[in-house]
Amino acid sequence: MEEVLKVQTLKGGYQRNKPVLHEVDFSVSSSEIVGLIGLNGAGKSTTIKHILGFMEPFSGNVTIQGRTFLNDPETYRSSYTFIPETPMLYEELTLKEHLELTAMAYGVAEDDYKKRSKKLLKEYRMEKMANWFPSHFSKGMRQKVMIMCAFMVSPPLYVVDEPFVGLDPIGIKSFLDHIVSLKERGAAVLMSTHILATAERYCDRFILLHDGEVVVSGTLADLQAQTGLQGASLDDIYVHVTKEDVR
Amino acid sequence: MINIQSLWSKRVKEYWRMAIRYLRLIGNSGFLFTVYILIVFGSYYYGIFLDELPASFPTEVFLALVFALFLSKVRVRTFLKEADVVFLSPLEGKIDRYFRTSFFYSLAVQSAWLLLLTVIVTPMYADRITANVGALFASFLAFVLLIAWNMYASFNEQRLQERGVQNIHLILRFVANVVMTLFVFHLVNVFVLAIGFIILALITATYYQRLGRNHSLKWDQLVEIEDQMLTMFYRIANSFTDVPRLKTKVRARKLLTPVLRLVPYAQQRTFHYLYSRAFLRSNDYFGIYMRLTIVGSLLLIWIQTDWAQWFIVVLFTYMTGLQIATLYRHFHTNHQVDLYPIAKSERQQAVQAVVFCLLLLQVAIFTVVIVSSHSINLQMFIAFVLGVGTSGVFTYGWMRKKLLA
Repeated sequence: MEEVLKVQTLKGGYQRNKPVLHEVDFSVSSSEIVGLIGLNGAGKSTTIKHILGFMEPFSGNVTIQGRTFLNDPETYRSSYTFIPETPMLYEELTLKEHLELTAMAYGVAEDDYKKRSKKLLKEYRMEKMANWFPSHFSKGMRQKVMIMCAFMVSPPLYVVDEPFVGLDPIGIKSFLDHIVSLKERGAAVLMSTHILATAERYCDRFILLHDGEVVVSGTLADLQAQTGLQGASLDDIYVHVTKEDVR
Repeated sequence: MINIQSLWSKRVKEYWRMAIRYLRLIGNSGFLFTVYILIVFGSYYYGIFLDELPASFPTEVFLALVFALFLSKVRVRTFLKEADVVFLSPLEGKIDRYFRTSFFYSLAVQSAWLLLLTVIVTPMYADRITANVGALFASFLAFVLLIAWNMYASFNEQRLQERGVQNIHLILRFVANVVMTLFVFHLVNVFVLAIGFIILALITATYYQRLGRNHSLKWDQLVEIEDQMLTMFYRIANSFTDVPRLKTKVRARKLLTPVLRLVPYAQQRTFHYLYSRAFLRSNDYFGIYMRLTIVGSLLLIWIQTDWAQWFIVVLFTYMTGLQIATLYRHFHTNHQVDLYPIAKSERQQAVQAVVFCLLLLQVAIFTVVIVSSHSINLQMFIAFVLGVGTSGVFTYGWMRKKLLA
């Protein structure tokens, strides 16, 4: 397994004297789904912004396939797609045009675009809405557009921020099945979420972030061993780890 | 509990503070001078127009229709905000006073608009109906009453769930308004008019009061109406200055979609794809472009002096460029565009290419207009070259500087 995303002793945030992230260290390899878990304000979004190349680290670095953003912005950007927590759509583009634009932007061949868009529209039950504008979409539909756009491209890395909010059960299932099949084809997936039961079932490893630091990380068995909670669920571990801080 | 009445006055104050800021900007933009010119020329042509208007012109019917249209469209300005759907809706039974204040406020504002409309039609009224000032004053009062009735009615119609049913109400109300305004302009007997008002009062007491009792407020629609009224103000202000709060309304313009297909499928064309769609569907870039093209063409048909035509071509190409160049910051707030693996310089080239193509198209239209009213000659050729030159200098000179800044 090749390490696709590597975050090394990342110190980052908005102000140099008040960093949000302290020495964050983790990696995501190909054929692996890693869950990024933490309370509100733990630093998940900041970590993701650093990975996307929207923020520059104060020290440490983030690489995708060995490249940092500043090395080669275009190649870096083409090596991942991102599903944001709040859908960002173009109000002046129809659903189909969102897919076409994304395919164009990432250099997907036209034939592949046509095949994939047909499949995606069917899978997410959005065929009827293909020519609709976003103003007619519900929150869940908007989220589906973002998911479909991300899956239009096949980059080595997928960065997913809280994908389940607003999705209907069938949408969630399609999404998870899709993620698993991408993993089987060798993709690396970093998924930030609060839905721990789902994370426990689908993620191979976890990174528990608290106050900008990685508190524990590893497989569920690793986490159980590190916290001394044999047989505990991810939920229990999560509560245990974050409670210690309160004490 | 917060005092809802003070919430109302706070919002009105907030609105006017904002409105006055924009009005001041409009005043400073040379607009007042334009208005002054318009009044001078307008009143001159108005006089000629009245002289030339045939005696058989149905002035009463014309005025009745104009006023009935105005009356049917009056609505209560509620100053509601989107969040009120959640936070104020639980108080629905207790905030009658909030809406009553809104009602009287709107009545005052609409009466001011009515006054303006009345002033505009006064010369026609005096010329064709009666020069009696008392009659005009009485008509004005009758219209104020009608505004009040229409506002009360439309406020209660908003409680109806179905748009179709609402539209039927609007049409019926328009018919009632036409009848009443015809009464007024035909100078019918006061008693006939009084009977009309009594009938309206009866409709209000029986039907509209019942609507108010039996149907809940439709908060979403109230917010939407408020939004529409606010947007109208923003749109007017936006033609003089930049209004960041103007929510963009997207139009599909389905008939023109095939034109967008001209952008080929290719990674290097990603931003051409995006900007051409933004131009056609969003923010009325397209509307401004069309208006300037049409006005320019009309001027070219009307003014036949060579040098004046060259000037018009250069001026209108430049003005159009200024208006549509704002496309370059259209996606500034959307992070999605930053994620694409495409260099920023390509994005800038794309927006320049789109603007340049649009300007060239306009120059081509102007040239065709000149040819159709002249013939193919050197004059047309010079106009064409000047237009292309202006487009080039604008896009690759002025706009490039803006983009690099």
